[in-house]
Amino acid sequence: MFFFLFALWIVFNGRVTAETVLLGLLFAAAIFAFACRFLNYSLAKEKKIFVLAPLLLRYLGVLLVEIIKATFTACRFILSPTLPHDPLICRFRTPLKSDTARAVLANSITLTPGTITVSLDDGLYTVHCLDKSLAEGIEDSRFVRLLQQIEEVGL
Amino acid sequence: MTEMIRFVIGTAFLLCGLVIFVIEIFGNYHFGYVLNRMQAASIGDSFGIVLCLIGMMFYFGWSLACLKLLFVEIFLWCSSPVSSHLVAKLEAETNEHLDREVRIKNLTAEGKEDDPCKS
Repeated sequence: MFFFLFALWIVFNGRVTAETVLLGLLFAAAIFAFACRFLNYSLAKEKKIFVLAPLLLRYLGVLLVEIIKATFTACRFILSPTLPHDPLICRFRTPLKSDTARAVLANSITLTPGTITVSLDDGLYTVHCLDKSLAEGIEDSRFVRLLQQIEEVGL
Repeated sequence: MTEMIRFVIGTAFLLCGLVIFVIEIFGNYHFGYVLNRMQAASIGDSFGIVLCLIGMMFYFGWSLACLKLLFVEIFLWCSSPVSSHLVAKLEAETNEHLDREVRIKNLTAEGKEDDPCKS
């Protein structure tokens, strides 16, 4: 969070001078302190991000691959006048326990074309799929397995 | 020469993004029901915009502008699903005849069987 805020400051500033760096460090530290005090952030959680970095990068890679694959599938349904599609709303639960992992999964499902998370209530997902083929194995997808690994390390 | 290569790669990415957006617009008219239309729209939101931004990154080269575009992408990917989710939830909760528009299936541990809409 601290490094992200600092990077954001530098990038938005557009210049790297002693003044901008010092001010950036100051503001990033102030916002991080606020987040620790009121938004349940902590230094221990920050350290975990570095441990989780390889898994998070792997998750991002999987997400990108799934988005590309799903885009082509959705394009096929849109462009083909003869290919029938069978829209479906499915409800399922996953073994994920933390709210963060559940929210990340819901976001990933929505980001993948062809599926939209309609609701997430206490671990029960309601997902709209453009075709029933897109719902196959959705409750035990690669996203879920990776998020479970991330949860085991500690999210 | 490097500028030329960057221009060609950037243009290729931008054109691919443009094609995705054209398909998205076509899909919006092709499908009749709002949730299906949202699926068509999500193609551009998640992948079309990435291709366009990568193309622009190639135009700018390795600079702060390139990093700004990367941050734009990160914020878009974080915020776009939230708005899509809210619109979808609104439709699911206000449409009294949702089961006429789309099949509803329960995949929970209680048994993989069809279930009437209870939203």
